[in-house]
Amino acid sequence: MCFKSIYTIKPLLLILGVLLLGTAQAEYGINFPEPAGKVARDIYDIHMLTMQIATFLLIIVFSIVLYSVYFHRKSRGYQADQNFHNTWFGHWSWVIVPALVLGVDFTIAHGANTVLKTVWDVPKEKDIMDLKVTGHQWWWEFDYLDHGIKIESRALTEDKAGDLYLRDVDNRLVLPTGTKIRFLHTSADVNHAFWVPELAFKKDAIAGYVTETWIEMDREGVFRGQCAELCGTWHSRMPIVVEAVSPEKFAEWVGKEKAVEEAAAAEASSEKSWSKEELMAKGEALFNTKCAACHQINGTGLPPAFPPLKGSPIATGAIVDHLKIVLNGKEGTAMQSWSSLNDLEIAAIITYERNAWGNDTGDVIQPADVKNAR
Amino acid sequence: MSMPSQDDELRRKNIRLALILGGLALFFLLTSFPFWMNLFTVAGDLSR
Amino acid sequence: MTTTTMSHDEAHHHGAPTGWRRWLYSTNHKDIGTLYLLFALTMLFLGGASAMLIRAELFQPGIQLIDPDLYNNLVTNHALLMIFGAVMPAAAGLANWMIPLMIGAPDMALPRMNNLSFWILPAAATMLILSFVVPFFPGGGTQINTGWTIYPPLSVQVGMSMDFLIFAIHLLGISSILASINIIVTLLNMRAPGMTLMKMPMFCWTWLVTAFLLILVVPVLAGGVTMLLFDRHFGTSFFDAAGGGDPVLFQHLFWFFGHPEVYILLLPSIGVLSHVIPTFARKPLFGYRSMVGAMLAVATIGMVVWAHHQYTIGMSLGAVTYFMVGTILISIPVGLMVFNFIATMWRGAMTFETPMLFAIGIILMFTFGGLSGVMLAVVPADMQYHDSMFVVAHFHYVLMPGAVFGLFAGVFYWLPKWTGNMYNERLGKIFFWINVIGFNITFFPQHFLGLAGMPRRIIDYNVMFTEFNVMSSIGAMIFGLSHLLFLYIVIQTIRGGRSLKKSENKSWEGAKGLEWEVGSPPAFHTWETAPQIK
Repeated sequence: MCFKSIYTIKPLLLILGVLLLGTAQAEYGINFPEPAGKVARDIYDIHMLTMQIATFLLIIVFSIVLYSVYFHRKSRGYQADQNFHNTWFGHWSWVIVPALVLGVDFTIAHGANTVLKTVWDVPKEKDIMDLKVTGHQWWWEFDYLDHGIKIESRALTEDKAGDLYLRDVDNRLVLPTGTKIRFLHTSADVNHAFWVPELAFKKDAIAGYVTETWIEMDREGVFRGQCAELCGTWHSRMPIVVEAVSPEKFAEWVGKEKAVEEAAAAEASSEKSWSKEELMAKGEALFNTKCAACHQINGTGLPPAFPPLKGSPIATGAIVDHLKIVLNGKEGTAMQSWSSLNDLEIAAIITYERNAWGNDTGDVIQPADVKNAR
Repeated sequence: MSMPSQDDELRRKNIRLALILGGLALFFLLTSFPFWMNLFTVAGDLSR
Repeated sequence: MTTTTMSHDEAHHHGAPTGWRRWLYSTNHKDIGTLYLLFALTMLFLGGASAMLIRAELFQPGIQLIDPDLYNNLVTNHALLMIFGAVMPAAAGLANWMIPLMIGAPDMALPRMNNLSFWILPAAATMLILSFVVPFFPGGGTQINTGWTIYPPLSVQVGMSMDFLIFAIHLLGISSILASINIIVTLLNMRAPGMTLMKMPMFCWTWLVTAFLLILVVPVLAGGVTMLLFDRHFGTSFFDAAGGGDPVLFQHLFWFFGHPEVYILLLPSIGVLSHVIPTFARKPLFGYRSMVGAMLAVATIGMVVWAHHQYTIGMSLGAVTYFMVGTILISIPVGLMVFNFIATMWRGAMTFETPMLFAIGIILMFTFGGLSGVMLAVVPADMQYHDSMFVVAHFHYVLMPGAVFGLFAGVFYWLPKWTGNMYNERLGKIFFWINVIGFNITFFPQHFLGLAGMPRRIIDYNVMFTEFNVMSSIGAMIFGLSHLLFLYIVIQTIRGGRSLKKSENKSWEGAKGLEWEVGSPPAFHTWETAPQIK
């Protein structure tokens, strides 16, 4: 009997062995990546502390149970101690055990509370850099409130991203090291959550709410994360890539971005009349980044959630209705308002949608038409 | 179908306790959230 | 201790009715208990099948088998089928079967209501399955891609299947409230003379507390989903920020139900353990009084710490500190329970039949899940764990051993009583080992996935997460298929036959309690004359 029981434990040992082997290989990633800032390091430390306490307690419980299972068995002729619960231990254990657990609880809660205060209290300094993070279905919008730049960040397709598929984006969130940054999270539609393990915090982006977190990064690098709150069909395709650079490089980057944005704005506000070819070329590029996640590159959509545009009554019907739905969105669906795009961009997208995939309406929409429709 | 009969007093006692508990559930349904408040607001908006 | 029961008036009752009427019109607690258990078994296989499909999809990176909305729909349905379809009805089934036998009552206090509370369930399950099936038909709208938490605004986007889901939740809620009322009334009014509350078997105590929890929290869920229904169709804006509502309010309502629900799933199994461990350790339960106290403490504290499921919604520092400390304090009563179980085993004369194997497995793995729960309770650390695979691993370590293994233990423990046949012990042990090993291979690697940065509820993942997902999926297949063996053992035991031993009235050497004094299987009516408890 004794021999048999050891035999049955064998599979368990086997798993344990496999797992230990697994943990020896660092590239699998078995713990949080190295934190990138003081707050993140505090969080990492409290995680390690509680994990060590938990492991220690687990070992104690396992040893006591396994000792008892081995020695206090009938097959070894052990006689049950019918009065065990009547000893002093039996009478007072209901005080002793909770007192011990309370001690452990206080150790954890005390450590956690100190960290919690630094994490939760966003510094109130004036020169703190504000970054507004807006979650959309299914991309991120980053507003550098102090610099007047706006970045749209979308997942790269598999052929462009390669091994980093679902962890790589077209426009990275570039942030300076050594600067206190306040993140203001909100959402344009459903709930999302901003999570980059190196920054060690996660906050929900909820429509109508602004939630705050902060960090001061102390090392440069590229940190990857993902949306962590289920936000519908393409929840898996909302990566976040933070690129931490020195403040000098950041200033340089800000300058470049500003120039690009100004050029785009100038182009859009020019009174120029655009040819169909120009609009189609612009429209295709814009459609493929902004619209194709739902309506698909070939315009067939994914019904019933995402209706096709190819041959659809909207894209081949009256221009007014088409403009209206793009500008205002459709309530109760994932179709949001795109009015934050400039007139030229919307004109290009609509022209493309009305002429691509055999929708040959021949309509050409000019930025001025969009301006009038707003 | 065939049920061991309960005497009347026990039966009354059982039903009374069941009704009290059902009332408790109903109480929780109606009070633990601002349901009616919002419903009245909506009704007010509609009548205007 | 007691007198045996004899039917004194044969003309008055006719034994078991035959045919479909026996089941559809049943007011007999044993038959209704059987119905509950069979229903739960069916749902266990449906929920298990959806889980295996989820894991099959996650076996490799990329989208191979199902599209993302169907994946999310499976995630939603797996949770609802398992919680409302499998675990709660199974626990109610055990309660129906065992509570009257344990307290020496002839039947449940309100037998007709008992019939109603069961027969609502198949209707609710149909509704739930329809919510899954409807999108496949033309005009059926989109799939439910919200997860079982059905947070707005996402759940407002979903098509008509969400309405089916809301009504399914209403029906399931009504069913469990009726069942709870019945159980409370039975326990308070129908105990044998001399059985005071503090002499009541532990399983009855756990169900008394569970039933009260259900009555307090299920109506709140019903209210929450009703408001959701109004938001979807009647132009209210309870949860719509644009209309002056508050999307976070739903999360509070949901988790005010959702957290006590964890204890609703857990406590009946704790009750089963309190019978299984003393039986096979051949010594009385250690600390009956502290057990009752701990349970009441768990229920009370458990009612007021719901927001630890939503640490990331941006609460004030004071609020999160309160919820953190409250949650960590739950470890005290839960720790006391686990301690009492270990102390019951200590210096016992143990044998290791299948129910006992499950009991030991529960103590070890539930402790593991509980400790990762303490880690999750720590707010700053939870900002990392939240909504990652670490959470998935944690709650499966709590609910699988804590709820499902407890129910398995109960089924193996009382199956000889119900059927009159001993199940095949060898097969039972094989089932335990495959099941437990499969479980650990499935969920242990998920801790690492979560820490490395894999969020939960994603259909597709980066190649860096491949190794542990492969491991987990293989484990899930072993784990899922092992339940076919369980089905085989149960069917074999019900059919009986010469290969199986017959059970005596007292199926286990160390068993104690009134339920072992009636026959195996018990007569259709038992304890018509109440036993006297000294």
